[in-house]
Parts: sequence; structure tokens; C-alpha cells
Amino acid sequence: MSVSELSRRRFLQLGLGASAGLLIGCGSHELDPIASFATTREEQRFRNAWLHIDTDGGINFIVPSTEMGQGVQTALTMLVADEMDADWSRIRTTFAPYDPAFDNPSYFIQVTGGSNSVSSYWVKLRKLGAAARAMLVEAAAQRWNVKPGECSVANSVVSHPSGKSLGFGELAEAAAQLVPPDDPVPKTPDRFRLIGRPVPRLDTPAKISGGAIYGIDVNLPGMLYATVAQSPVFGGKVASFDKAAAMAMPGVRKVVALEDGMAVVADSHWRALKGLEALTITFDNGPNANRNSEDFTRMLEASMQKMDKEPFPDATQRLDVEYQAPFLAHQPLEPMNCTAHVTPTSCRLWVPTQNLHGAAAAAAVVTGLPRQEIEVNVTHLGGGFGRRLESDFVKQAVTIAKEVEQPVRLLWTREEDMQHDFYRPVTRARFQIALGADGTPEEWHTRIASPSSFQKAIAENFPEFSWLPVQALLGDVNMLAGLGTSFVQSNPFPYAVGKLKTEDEIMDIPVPNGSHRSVQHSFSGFCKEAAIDECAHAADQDPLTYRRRLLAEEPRYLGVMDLVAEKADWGKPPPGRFQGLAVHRSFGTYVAEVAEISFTEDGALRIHRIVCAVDCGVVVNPAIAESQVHGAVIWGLENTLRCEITIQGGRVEQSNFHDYEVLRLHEAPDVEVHFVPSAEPPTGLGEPGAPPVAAALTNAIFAATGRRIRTLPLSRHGLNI
Amino acid sequence: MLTLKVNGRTMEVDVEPDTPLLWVLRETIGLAGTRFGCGQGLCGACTVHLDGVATRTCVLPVSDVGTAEITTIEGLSADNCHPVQQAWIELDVPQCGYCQSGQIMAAAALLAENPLPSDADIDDAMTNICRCGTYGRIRKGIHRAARLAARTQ
Repeated sequence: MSVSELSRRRFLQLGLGASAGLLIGCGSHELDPIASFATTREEQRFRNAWLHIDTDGGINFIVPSTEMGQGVQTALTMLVADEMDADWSRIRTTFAPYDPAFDNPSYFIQVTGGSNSVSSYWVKLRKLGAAARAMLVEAAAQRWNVKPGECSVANSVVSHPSGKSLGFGELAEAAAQLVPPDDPVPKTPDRFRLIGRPVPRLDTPAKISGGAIYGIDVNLPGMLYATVAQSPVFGGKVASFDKAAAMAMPGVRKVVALEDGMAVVADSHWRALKGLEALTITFDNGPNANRNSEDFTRMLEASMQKMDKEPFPDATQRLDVEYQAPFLAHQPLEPMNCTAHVTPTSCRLWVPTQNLHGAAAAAAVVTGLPRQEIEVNVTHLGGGFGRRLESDFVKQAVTIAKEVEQPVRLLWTREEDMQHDFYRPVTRARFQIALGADGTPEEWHTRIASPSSFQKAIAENFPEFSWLPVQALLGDVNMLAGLGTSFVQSNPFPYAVGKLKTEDEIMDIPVPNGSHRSVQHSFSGFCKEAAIDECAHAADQDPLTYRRRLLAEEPRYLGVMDLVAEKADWGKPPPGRFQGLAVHRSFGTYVAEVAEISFTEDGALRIHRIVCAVDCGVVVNPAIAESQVHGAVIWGLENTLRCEITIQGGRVEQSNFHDYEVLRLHEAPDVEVHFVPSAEPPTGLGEPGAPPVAAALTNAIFAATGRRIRTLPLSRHGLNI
Repeated sequence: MLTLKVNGRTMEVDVEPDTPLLWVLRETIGLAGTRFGCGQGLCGACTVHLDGVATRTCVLPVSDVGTAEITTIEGLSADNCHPVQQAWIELDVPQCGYCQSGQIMAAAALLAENPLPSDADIDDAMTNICRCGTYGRIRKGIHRAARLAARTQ
């Protein structure tokens, strides 16, 4: 795909010019009828056209979600193509530009996150494909004067037992004259031809030739290059600056003041960087210049003291334990960037974002243009992990682009990225648990304390509702994910304990935070699964047997635990090795993991393998599914082992990959992924592999050493691989 | 003016001599397949070959390149036919794909020097960062590429 194709304007021209054949669209909501191309306005009909079958048989599918490595470009296309019985080799895909027609059916805005692309579109896209197939079959049946039910379809060819056959391309124009079916019926699973198979990814060839276009690769005629320095201290502002030296540097065109930093615009990225180096900026550090990580931990510890002082005096046994996990950075390998071209009447963006709605909302605020008028074209994303749900860098790019005539590409340095991320928040939990005579929990009290990004997310994505104090009224609805059972919990606490009580406190900690692959589950999966392991040991029971008893009414939890136990030889590790188990449901998917470890003579931790069992309903593409769980495990491991963002003097101490040490190839253990066969509708896959890792590992460490690790990362406890 | 030999072509570039080779390749020459990740030589996204040796270009001033022949991902093969690329296709190695140009160039340099690398050799040579966690498939891909290369010789 070339950059020129990544433009909505171009996209509309292409659509209108090349409108021969069958175009089928649908609105943003799953239950909308599939609208006929023929019945909508010229421009609107193209915007809604998700699927174009050309007269030469070529098929173009508009992928509504953004591709950040999770494989949606392939998986969503498979849903449509399978229902059409289309020739897979004739399918091309285009990423949807910003348009309400492409809103995520679960969120009602155009955003990719929460591991829900396949589950959200599971019905809608199959109906879309089924509608196209039905229209093409009907066109053939009319041509041959036979009943549609007598026809069959394979590989983009409609056939009749009499020997007649016609290709989709030959039928496309006739099909376009027909009324789409009101409620097309998707296939039953026994007729799937693509779904369930390891179909090769559509994006691989471009990603191994260097040809895939990421945000950083967008190159427009006359484009300028910008880079920024933001206040290192959160909440700081620019007090003063002297731009003379910067402006004297070769190629520097402009110095732009931002809300909390400065940008330099030049005719190359390197010259922009050199210009920024020459710029003298004095920051006013603001109110947070004396804050640090130790303060935050003390605040969280104080919150925990609000629980009962002497709980369960009559219990046979009781546990009273606290868990904590630190701030974490996302650090997708492509640094934050956005290309913008702003005129008094238009704003065009080319941006690697998970959140086209948020990008448009940010640009609308800066330009004063209506949000619907903002053109947002999305590129491949060099990783997302939740970082690209934010639009801070879009806002900056548009602010800078307003100051110059040409298009401008803003690109951050890694250091800016590391120090101005939206971090997984530092979180602490305390469990007070009373065990009965049989060792099962009679009472389970949980308190959790964490900063929240809920209000900020609403204010930035829905500026028109920013006055609503949602967080004050509801709390943070995600904070107790996996730990509570309130009506807002889509992932409730699963164990059959006597009485569950939860409380939470949103902490005022001046560090930006946001969604970080698996969000709150990265903590709840750790603390819940470590605490239940503590209960099992206190009750002197095998951790698997203990969990099975408390999950006896949860067949899908049992299914993944039994499968992982079988595949990992639970209870029978090789001599000198030790196992830890954890199971957690997130984004609808059940994952059980067993970590198999040992210690070397000099005390280093060896992780031999992580075995995973996953129940995500129907597995649309097993090869992509494996890669997602595998990658999520690696992600979870680095965050368990040593990754940590710390704050001193109100600023992040880490700055690049030398002091934020992500996992590398030589440290990555074997990861085995097994799926529970299922006919249930598909659920999430990008994130659910991550939450169980930390507890599987710390539970294995307990099995090996008797040491119970309750605060992460492990490197703080002298445990290193 | 500096003279560079890139993917078999000789070209002149007019840039400040301290400009890292990465930015000359991406912006001056227009070969965008080599990518920027960290700017400190820590992640390997910017790896190309200099006279066949895997080299990180985000910290390499263009004036230090001298007469070395530069090969970028675009010059590795015309049609994804290099054994590493073939293995990467077979195993669908990339996820987001952003690091993969660098991973492929590092793997190709390793195989050129050591046609049958052991796991330990791969551990030593492959220090590039992948944030999606494709390391398992990269390792398998290198073993597979070694077999493919042996077959075609």
C-alpha cells in the first residue's frame, strides 16, 4: 500500500471512479440493516461501502480496525471471505479512514482496543459476507432461471449442477441491482472453509520487504519535520525560552510553543533534533517537583490501613496480605508520531493510532473545525499496546501544523516517549481472608488503591461530556476487574468463596496513566492468583485441586486448568524443577498458565517453559492466535521480572532501553499455547495471555523456595534471570 | 557532498556529516524500510549491512561510512526471496512488523557468517528488541532459513 492510497480524499475518488461492480455497506451498529449501495447518497454510499466486488473479480475489503500486529487485517477479512466463499487470493484490504460508519460496534466510536475486534465484528462481518454471497447467487440464479438454493459457491465462482458457472466479477454488476437480504444467515461452523485455519497473514509480505507504511514512513510533498521537548516534570510548563540559537541552525524553520513543551520544525528530522538541542528552554516545574515513587507507595500503604484492624477473630486460619505492582511503560517500537496538514478550512492527518475518534476529537479542539470534518488516515502501527489510544501527540502535531503552511510530521525521540507515556498505574491491594476448617475461604475481603485514567479518557474522547463527573459518581468501573462482582464487572471474581467484600480508592498521583496491554488485569491476575495460591498452601492442598473445588461451577475455568495440567505434567515436574499455576479470565477469554522453573547453583532464576491453555471460543486463525498469546506472555514476563518506571523529583527516572530493560530473545523462554476446542463465539486474544504470567511465576518461586513475592518486579527481590 | 554505495548504486548526498546514516537512508535517499526505534543503538530497528556486517545506523554518522557497501532491507532481495525472508513468510514471524527489517538484516548477517547457527549462536547474535514478543518465531525462522539456504546451494 502506498502513502497516496492512505488518504481519504483519494479513497473517495477511487470509490466514485471505480464504482462498477457490487459495493455493500452497513452502518456502525450491528443490528442496522445492510444498506444497499444503490439507495444511499453518492458520497455516503461509498463511505459505507465496506466491501467492493469489482467486475474483474477483485475484492476490496475495508478493514474497520487498526492493525498493530494483532492480526485483525487478516482475521476480519477471513470472516467476510469465508461467508462469501471468495477466492482468498483476489482479496485486497484497505484500512478504514475516520468515519462513523466504521465505529467499533461495542464502543460506538472508532477505536481498536480491549481485545475485541474479532468478537465485536463476529456477527456483523459474517452477515456482510453472507449478504454479498446471497446477492451474487441470486444474480446467477436469475441469469440461469434456476432457484438460488440449487446453486453452490466456491472460490468466487457460483455453479449450478447443470454445469453452468459464473465468477463473482461477471455477476457483480447484476448483483448490484438487487436488494440486499434483510437478515442474511451466516454459515454454520461445519461449513467454514477459512475460519479455524492458519491462513497466512496478509501483512507479512510487506512487513518483510520493508514496504509496509507506518506513521514514520508517511512522506508528503514539501513535508517538514518536527520534534519536541516536553516538561520533564509532570505538570510543569515552559517558563521562558530563547529561540535565537535554534533558528540559526541549518534547516530550522520554526519554533513552536506547546502547552507543556517546545517544538522545533526543520527540513529534516536530524536538523529538527539539532535545532531542539540548540533551543534554550527554562521550565517551571510546577507543583510536583518534589514527588517520588516512595511517596506514592506510602500513600497506597496508608489507604490499605483503612481496612479492619482485627478481621475474623474467630476464623480457623486467616490471611492478611498486601500486593503491589509498579508503573509500567508501553514503549511500542515505533515512537509516537503524527503527520498533519492544516489550513484554515481543513485538517488532514496520517497517524498510527488505535483511536481515530480520539485523534479527530483532539484535532477538532485545536483547529476549531467540526470533528466530522477532520480527515484521519491510519497507517500500520509499529505496536500499540494501549499507548496509541491516547491522542496527546496528535494534538501536538496539529498545533505545530497550524503554524506552518506545509504538511509536518512530528516524531518523538525514544526519551520523550519513555518519559511521557501513559503508564500502567502503580497499584496496591490488600486481602483479608478467613479460611474455614476445610481450608476454603469463608470470607474474602479485598481493598485496592490506584490512580485512575477513567475521567481523563472520557474528557478527551468526548469533550462535549467532559463536565460530567463520571468518575466521582461511578468510581473507576475497571478498577476491580477480576476482583469484584458489581454489575459493571464483565470479568467477575470467579472463586466460590463464602462472602466477598470489595472496596477501592482512587489515588491522586500526578503521573499520567492509561490502558496498558490487559489494563487492570495485569495486576488483578497477579494478586488474585497469588493470594489463592497462598490459601491453597495455608490449607495444605494442591493449588490445582484447591482451585478446581472453588471453580466447580465454572466449566470453562475447569477446562483450561485441566488442559494446562495435562500439557504441563502438573505435579510431575522434572527433577530440580518447580511449577506454579495461575488462571484468569479477561476480555472474555479464559487462560491458565503453568510456569516451570529452577534455580542455578548461584541463585539465578531459570524459566524453562510457560505452558498456556486458552479458551477463547472459536479460534478464527490458530497461527495468529498462538502468536498473540505467546507475545502477551513475553510482555507479562518482562513486567514481572524487572520492568518498572520510577519517579524522582516528579519526573520519570528511566529514559531509554538501557534502563527500561525489556525482554530480549536470549531471555525469552519456550512458550507453549494450547486451545480448548470450542464452538462458543470468539472472545479476546491480544491481551488475555498476559495477566496470569506473574502469578504463575511467583507461585513457582514459592514452590521452589518458600519465598512469597508480593511486590513486583522480581529484580527488587534479588531474583534475576 | 558525500558518496555512498547503497544497494549496489552509487549516489551523492548533501547532508551535515554528523547526520546518522539512518536519516540519510530514510529521508535523503528515500529508503524508509530501515526504521528508527531508540536513537542510541539499543534496539536494532535501524540495522543494515555495511560490507555484510550488521550495523546499527541511528548512531553512525554518515561521514564514518566511508567506502563501505551499504545493504538495506530493500536491497536484501528484489522479491522477498532471501532465505530469511522465505522462512519469515513460512512462519508468519512479524506481528506489528516494525522491528522486522532490523531483525531480518541481523539474521541474514548471522547466517552469512555462520550458515548453521546453534541456539546459543542465535542468542549471542540476535540482540534486537521486538515489543510484540516474536522471539520464538525469530529463533525458529533462523533455523528454518539455514535449512532453506543449505538446500539452494
